[in-house]
Amino acid sequence: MRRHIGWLGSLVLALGASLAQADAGLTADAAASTQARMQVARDAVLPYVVSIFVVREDAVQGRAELRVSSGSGTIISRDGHVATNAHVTENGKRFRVVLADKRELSAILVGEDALSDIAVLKIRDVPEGGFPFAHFATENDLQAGDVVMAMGAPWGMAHSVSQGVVNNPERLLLSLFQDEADYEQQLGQNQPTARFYAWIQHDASISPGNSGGPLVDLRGRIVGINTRGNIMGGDMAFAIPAPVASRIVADLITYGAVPRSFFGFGVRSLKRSGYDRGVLVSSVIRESPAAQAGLEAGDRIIAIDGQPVTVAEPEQVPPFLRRLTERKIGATMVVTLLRNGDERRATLVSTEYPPDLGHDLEVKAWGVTFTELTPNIARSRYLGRESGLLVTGVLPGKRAATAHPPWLVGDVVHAIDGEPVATRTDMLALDLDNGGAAPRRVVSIERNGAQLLSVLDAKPARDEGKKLRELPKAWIGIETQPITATTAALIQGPLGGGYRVTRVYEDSPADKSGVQVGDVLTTLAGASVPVSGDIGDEPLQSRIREALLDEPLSLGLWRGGQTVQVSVVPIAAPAPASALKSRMIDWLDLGVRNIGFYDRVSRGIAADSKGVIVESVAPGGLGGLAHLAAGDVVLRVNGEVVTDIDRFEQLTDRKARSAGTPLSFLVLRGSRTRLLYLDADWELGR
Amino acid sequence: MKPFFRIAVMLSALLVAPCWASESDEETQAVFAHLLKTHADSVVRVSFVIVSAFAGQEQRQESSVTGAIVDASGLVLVPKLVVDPSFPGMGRMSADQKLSFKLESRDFRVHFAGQDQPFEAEALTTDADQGIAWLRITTPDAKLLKPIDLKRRATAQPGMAYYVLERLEERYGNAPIVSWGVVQGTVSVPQQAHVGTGAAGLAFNAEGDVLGYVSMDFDDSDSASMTARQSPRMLLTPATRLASATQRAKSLLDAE
Repeated sequence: MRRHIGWLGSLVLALGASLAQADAGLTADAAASTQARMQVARDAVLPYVVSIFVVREDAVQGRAELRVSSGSGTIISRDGHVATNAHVTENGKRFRVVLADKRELSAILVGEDALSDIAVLKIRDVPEGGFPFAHFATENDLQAGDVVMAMGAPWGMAHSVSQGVVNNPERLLLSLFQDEADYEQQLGQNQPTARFYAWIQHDASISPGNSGGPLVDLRGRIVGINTRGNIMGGDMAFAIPAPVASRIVADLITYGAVPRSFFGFGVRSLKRSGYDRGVLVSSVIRESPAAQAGLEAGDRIIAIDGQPVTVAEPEQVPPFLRRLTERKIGATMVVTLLRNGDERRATLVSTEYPPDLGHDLEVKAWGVTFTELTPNIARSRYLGRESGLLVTGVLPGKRAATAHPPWLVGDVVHAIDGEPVATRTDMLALDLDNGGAAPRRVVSIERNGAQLLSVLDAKPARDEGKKLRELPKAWIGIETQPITATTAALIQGPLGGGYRVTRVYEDSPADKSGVQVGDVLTTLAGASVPVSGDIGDEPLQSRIREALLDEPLSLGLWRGGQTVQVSVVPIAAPAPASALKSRMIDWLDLGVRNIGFYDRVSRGIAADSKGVIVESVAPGGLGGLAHLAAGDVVLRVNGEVVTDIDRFEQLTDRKARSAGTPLSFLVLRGSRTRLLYLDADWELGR
Repeated sequence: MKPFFRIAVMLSALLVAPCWASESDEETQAVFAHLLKTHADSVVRVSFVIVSAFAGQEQRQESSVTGAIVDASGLVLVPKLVVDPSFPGMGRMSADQKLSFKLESRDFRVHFAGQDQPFEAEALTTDADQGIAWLRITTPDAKLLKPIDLKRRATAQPGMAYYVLERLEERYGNAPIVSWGVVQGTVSVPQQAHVGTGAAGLAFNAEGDVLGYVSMDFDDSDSASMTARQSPRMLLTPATRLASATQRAKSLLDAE
């Protein structure tokens, strides 16, 4: 018996070993095969993936601010169309794409669709023969576990590839703990991306900058456009399925927008309802086609145009709604519904889908930003009106912020001096940034349902360029360290201590009077100055500042074991940075000021070197795009020495130069100089 | 780094008054009434905007303080922090840090009691030693300007109570109130001044004579660490220095 067990055991062990070898062989083959397929897939798409550089104009606290951001995209046509995300192009003013071969090309926006988060750019200059491009998958045949690759520029790192698997090819962002009605609520107050689309959930790593990049399967097809990752890191990423994306892209290229029908009702699935056929009407928008046709929340639609419909699960809701939007605008739809057990029919005539978002607008003179009200924004904010200009930002201290009563974010401006304003065009017609006509404006505002009148001072703002000056104080140009009596004894200094000179500024009054480093100042104007521990030389400096300008001041100095008297004539202290002449170079979005005495001291700039200091630079402005940074000392412009801000203004005068001619800056940053260029295409708006 | 918060704390500290008084209630009431009658019209509310920017990100916040009219030309005395905001430790920032960091005030407006429109003002100059600054009302209304006479002054002594008039925010109808403090002692370093405790601002004695200006003194010396720092002391610089500096500030205005 024992022998039999032993033999059987040997057989099992041998069989196990042989199976393991076979598994290992299979695994190695499979791995090699997967590797080969990944390489093929990579080569089918990666060469056509681009990094996208965006100069955007965002409304920040009541003013438009130029910033830069980045994303990814894929060339999807010979004409140089690039598919990306709408949130990549959002608020974009200028676009650049960087190709796999490092070429950096200017692009224009063809169209963007916030509802699907898809946008299309087009590269301006198309080479002869066009661009090679990648292809979308025509159907969403992905299954959980399929290997996929995410391509793009995470954190701006161009042409990166990561790999993962599909977790769910049809994902709604809805957890087990939520009701399906929560889905739309959480899509964003103004921009309900994915209302009509389920996403591909996968775990190929994506980061900010990957947005708009392709999700690629092992057949080398674009199966999705990556749109969201997990902001906290981790392994959840989401992509818009290729069949949806390619259709949106085609519409954007053809029409510049996505034509959609609007019926004005929301639905929920039958899940937990107890019904087994139809779809439930969950909401009806007032004055919509659905409302006009008499639909009510709670109705159960069982057929559309005579064809039975059933939406059993939440995942079926987005495609159901999408199919409604894909009907021809103005077409009739006959709905069969059940209400309180009675069957009824309603005829709905679709209208054009209203835009979710309106145009943005800045009125610089008033320090306020608006967005045009849309019915969607009005509904989500419970507003009583559907037209007007919604205040999105108020700049403190400016006209809107100091109006009576002051304007608040969320106010809706709907009339100025009794004239209705509903759109950006209405507001621009008033030419407010150029002062307009009236010194005061009476503005009609809706705030939390109340109708307010606000009086706004519309006079042009005064010049803010004036610099703050410190009251002129006496200065002799020395730095000192306090020497207490104990320390003085140790260094053979004066009895009782004093202030040891540690620095004498060149050409200062003290320098001219022969004050030297190592002298110990014991008296000022014949009086001793208290020395107190290591608190610094403020007691001495404050007394010097109180001295009279241009009147001789006697210093008692301990030098080489003897006391000597030196007379210095104080001059006004050098101007601090805050008091130096400065200027805004508007077309470069650049603030510069003269170099001051204290800049030279703190940054080790030679007394005879010339230049201006960059005080502020908008990252998305032309100065920022030339990579100028706050703190740079601009030494030369186009090789010409910059002596001061007047010369800098002259050398960068836009009127005196042809747009698009080279502009270079030699700057001192830290301890090194660097040469920076403004790309001519940026200036030309390309 | 949250300068707004720190500045807000500092500005609110200017308004804090201790909860004691050496006079009887009747005496205190009489002093308050006298000060309000004599000087309330010279005390205004000054609103402004603090702008901070770091690494290209800019933020703005509105704030307001009490100012005092000190000259018929429209000079308004305010704490230096109002026009040249700073926070403890700012003095020890490196040159590069200072260049990439911006903290400034702008959009000054002077609100007179009973007037529904403020007057625009601009920062004229500062005196860092006394912790004061002067605004200049750009187009003043002479009828409203009732300057405090800085020649009517007295010398502070340790043990004295001092009084500061404030003009409240619009929310409280711009009403004038009186705060007070006590002169605690005299110092000769870092400058010659009195040390006080209590309210900050233009200080009067009970008769309404100017004693000087009480401001917070921040130790920004290199040797002090942030953790070892004491809370700021209140320094009262003498009225003579205040008057002299105001005269020089006015001469800047005249030179324009």
